[in-house]
Amino acid sequence: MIEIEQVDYSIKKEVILKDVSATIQQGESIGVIGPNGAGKSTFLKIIASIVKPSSGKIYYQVNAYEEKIKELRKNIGYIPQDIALFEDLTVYEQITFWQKAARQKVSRNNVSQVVEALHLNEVKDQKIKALSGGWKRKINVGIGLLHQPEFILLDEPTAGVDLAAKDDLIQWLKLLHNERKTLLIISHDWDVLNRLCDKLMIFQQGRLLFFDEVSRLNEFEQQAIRNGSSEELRKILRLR
Amino acid sequence: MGTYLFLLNKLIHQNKWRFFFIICFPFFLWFIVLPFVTDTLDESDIPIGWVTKEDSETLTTIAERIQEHPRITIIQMTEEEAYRGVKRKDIEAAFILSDNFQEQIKAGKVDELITWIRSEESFFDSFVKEKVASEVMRFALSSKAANDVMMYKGLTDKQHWQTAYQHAEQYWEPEPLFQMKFTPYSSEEAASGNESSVLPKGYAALFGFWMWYAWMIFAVLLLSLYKWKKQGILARLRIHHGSLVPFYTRFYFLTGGFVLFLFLALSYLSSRSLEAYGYSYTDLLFPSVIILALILILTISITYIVRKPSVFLLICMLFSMMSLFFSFLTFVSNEPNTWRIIFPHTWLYQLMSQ
Repeated sequence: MIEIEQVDYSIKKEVILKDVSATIQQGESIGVIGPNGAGKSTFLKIIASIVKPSSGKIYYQVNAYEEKIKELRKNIGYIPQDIALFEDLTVYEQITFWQKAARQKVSRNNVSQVVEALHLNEVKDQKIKALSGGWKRKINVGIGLLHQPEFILLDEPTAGVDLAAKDDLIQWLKLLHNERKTLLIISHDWDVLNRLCDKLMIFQQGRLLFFDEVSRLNEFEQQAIRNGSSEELRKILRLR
Repeated sequence: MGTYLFLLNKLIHQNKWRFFFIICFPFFLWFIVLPFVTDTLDESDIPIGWVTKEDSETLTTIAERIQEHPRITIIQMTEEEAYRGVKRKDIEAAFILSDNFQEQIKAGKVDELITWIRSEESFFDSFVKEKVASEVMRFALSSKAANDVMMYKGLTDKQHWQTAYQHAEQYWEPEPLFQMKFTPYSSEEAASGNESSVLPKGYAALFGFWMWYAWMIFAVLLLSLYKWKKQGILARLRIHHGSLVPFYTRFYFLTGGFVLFLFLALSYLSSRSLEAYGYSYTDLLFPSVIILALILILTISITYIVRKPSVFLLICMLFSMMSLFFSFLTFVSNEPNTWRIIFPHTWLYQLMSQ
């Protein structure tokens, strides 16, 4: 379980996140949506311990983040929006590098699971820089999950991925969710969100406006219209 | 460690140009330059002024033995001509042999017997100096041996002395090399009391160039850190590894080690190639490596201060080129270092001058 209490984050005088509180339970699958610049990626980075919040508290398994940072990082798989891979390595070399660079031992079985689920054998001898955006995205996701983390944070995992590859990713993430892994997925793709998520977080201008079951989204939408929320957010909700 | 070594290997082999410039180019350059340098050294005649104040058998033999070397030409001259010749660069250097040279040698006194005149442009004279030293020491030690034999046997006649001397001479084949104390003299040095010109300038320039080259290679390899940071690879590594400290430690250790090895290999090769011509700087390699290690630490520090890779590279290039240029300028002009002490090449040249 991860508890976030009144977290703020700002760079210089620009407020990125404001007073965000949420509790993420083990085994939940949560979609994170919101207009561009709403603070979604920063929120994920704070949970991943890449960025320190300006104020507020975060707890991991009831303990303060700072106290359990090593254990937390061991159990977190963060898949960034950018393709964070060494471009000059082949797919096989890439997997080997991250397998060996991991803090905890990554078994061959783990590696085989990732390779099979994402069909990476097809491109194992090709250099990353020579691959299409879709393949890169799949490998990007696969690498982040090699060590079988409990908390999986995905920032736009299916952006630029073809339909078949997207399906591969969704099927695999579903499988992980069924294994009681916690998923936190930023996506603009309602297909991904509808197929994977039980809960949704909606961000706007750094504030967490909604964090509840997907079934309660209609209620929130009506409320959003009444409160005069941004046109962009209303459009996002209409598209679901 | 093997994982990171593999990554470094990939970095070097990123493309064929990078591989060529990092590995092949310096060795290629050296192998191109080497035959040219050695040919020049082989073909060049070394005119040496020879000033004697007595007409003795010892001096004649020393001169003959030195003259045996195909590249050395001994020119008999007066002291005045010797100073003028060196100043005009008509001769490479000159040796003035003191009064009663033969008597002093036979008595076993070797200190301050020879005045060595050289200029800032003298390059090959160190080689001749060694040759003169070995011949004089040969005479001195054979004489000392003969004197000791005469003393222990209680003999005084010349014939026995000559027999003992000839016996001692048998132990001098093939030609041994010995060092002896010289009294150096050159007009500028006399004025400044500075002996930094002892090191051939061409060699110093080459040594400095290798250091600059290694520095640049290191800066180029560090550029990858900027790229990886931008791509989010370092953030991912931090989570994957728990911390970035092991990554940075291994990366700096391996890239630094590689660059130090490259510098060491090039410098050693250069040093060995010149050994045949009487120069040996292999003992300078270790201190030079320490200086380069300090440079690498300085370069790493810059990456923590400068955020943009282009600015980082520009700073490294400008600073390293200024270091190479200004330090060498100071070295050849024998000016005091003053503010140029901030440049690492100045530390190198100071070390070489000692």
